[in-house]
Amino acid sequence: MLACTLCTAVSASADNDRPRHFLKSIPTTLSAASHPTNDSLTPFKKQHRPLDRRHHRQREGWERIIPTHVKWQYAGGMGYMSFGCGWDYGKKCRWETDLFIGFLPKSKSDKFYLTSTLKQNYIPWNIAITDRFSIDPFYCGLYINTIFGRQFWVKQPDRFPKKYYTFSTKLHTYIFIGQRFTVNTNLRNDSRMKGVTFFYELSTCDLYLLSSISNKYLTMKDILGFSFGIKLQLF
Amino acid sequence: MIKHFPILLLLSILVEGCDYIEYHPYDLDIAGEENIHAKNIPLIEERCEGRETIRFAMISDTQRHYDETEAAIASINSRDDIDFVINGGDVSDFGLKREFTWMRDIMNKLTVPYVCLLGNHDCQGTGEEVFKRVFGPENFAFVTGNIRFICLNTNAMEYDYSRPVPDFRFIDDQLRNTPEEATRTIFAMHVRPGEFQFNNNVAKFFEYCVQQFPDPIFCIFGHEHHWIAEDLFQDGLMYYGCPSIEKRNYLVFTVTPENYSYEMVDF
Repeated sequence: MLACTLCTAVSASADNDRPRHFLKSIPTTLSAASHPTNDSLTPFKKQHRPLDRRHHRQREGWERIIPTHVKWQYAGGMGYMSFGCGWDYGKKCRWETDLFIGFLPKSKSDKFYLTSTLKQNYIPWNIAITDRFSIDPFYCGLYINTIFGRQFWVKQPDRFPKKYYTFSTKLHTYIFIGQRFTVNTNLRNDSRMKGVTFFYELSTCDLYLLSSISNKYLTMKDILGFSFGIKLQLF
Repeated sequence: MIKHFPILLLLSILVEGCDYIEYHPYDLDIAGEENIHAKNIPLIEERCEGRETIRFAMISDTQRHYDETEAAIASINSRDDIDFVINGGDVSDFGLKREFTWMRDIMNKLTVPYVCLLGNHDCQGTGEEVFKRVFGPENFAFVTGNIRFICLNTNAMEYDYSRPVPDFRFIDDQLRNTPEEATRTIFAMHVRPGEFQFNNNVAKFFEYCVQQFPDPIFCIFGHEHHWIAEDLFQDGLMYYGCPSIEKRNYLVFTVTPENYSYEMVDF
């Protein structure tokens, strides 16, 4: 059993050049005696393994439009709850772009509203704690949120003179920073879901920033918002 | 303990973070005090009961000027001759929920009660609904001594004239139900008649209605960000426009049984 576990670890490291969510392990029938490469591997041999084991799975052609993950996010100025899907790309999957649909229930507003959000994430680092767990100590990004409702506008209604209202009540741009914690659910390469990531974010929007720039009265506490969510990695 | 540290850390982040939850800048998930007018109006009436001379301060267009408003509040608090304060509207700049609660928290530092008028900027997004929940109805009235204050929403253009603004039903109702002790009247509004936001089709009729009230003394308004003193309809009824708080001054009106006076105070 011990040998099997060790083999799992070593074999997984040998697959480092493979996609991140395919940290492939060995066949279940493996035994220490039957494994051809086992002789060369002693339990004490230390293997160099990178901390950041993310690897982007290359996909070709139309396959690329299939989202790599789905997300659920609570609050964050993008609605009561938002559901979305997105794509990770770039070296070590450092970039993620998500598209959300959210809602604001009547209990939190004057009536039910739908919202939509386009979100861009930059995740510079990922640190593997074990094969199963990893953390993103810092990530950041921005998102643009829109709310659907007659009283919200991008540009002021025609009845007002030029530049009467110079802001938009419909579109809000947010910047955020956050942290994430990932559980690899695909250690044996037999799971449909490759990983579960829990994240939280601190965000603020353009109009809050604009207000705080000219007012010492407003502190970080006044303009920040907290949100959290879950990401399920599918590919 | 150490083993559970990450979990405890995560829990504390979640618990601490819950204070910062915001679903949308225009949501109506209001933290803190609501219905300010319902609390403050009885306080104003109580303070002025039986008095012949009243003195009130007016600030206006406090939108996105939190530092200046805080300074004005400190200045008003430093004197003890003010009975109450009127904020002439445009409490917020974008109609965002947080703008109203920020301003509420600043205004709550006043040692005297206050009321706020609904400004055109307060009508953006769900702003008007936030205003109603935090402060109270858009049209309201109260009596100080023998003076009745009629406070009106006059931002007609915000509704593209699709709503009765100013609401003559409310005005008529106030006229019919004038309390006995109210022998004089002051009108307060965010936008004066003749301004673009006002429904100018009814401007003269509005003035006619105002004149029906017992002894209208003067009208006060905000919106235009600078000091205005004008007999708008050449009928002897003065309209006074309060400067924006950005100009770092506020008005103090003193109404005596025979007359009234006003001063502009810099802070």
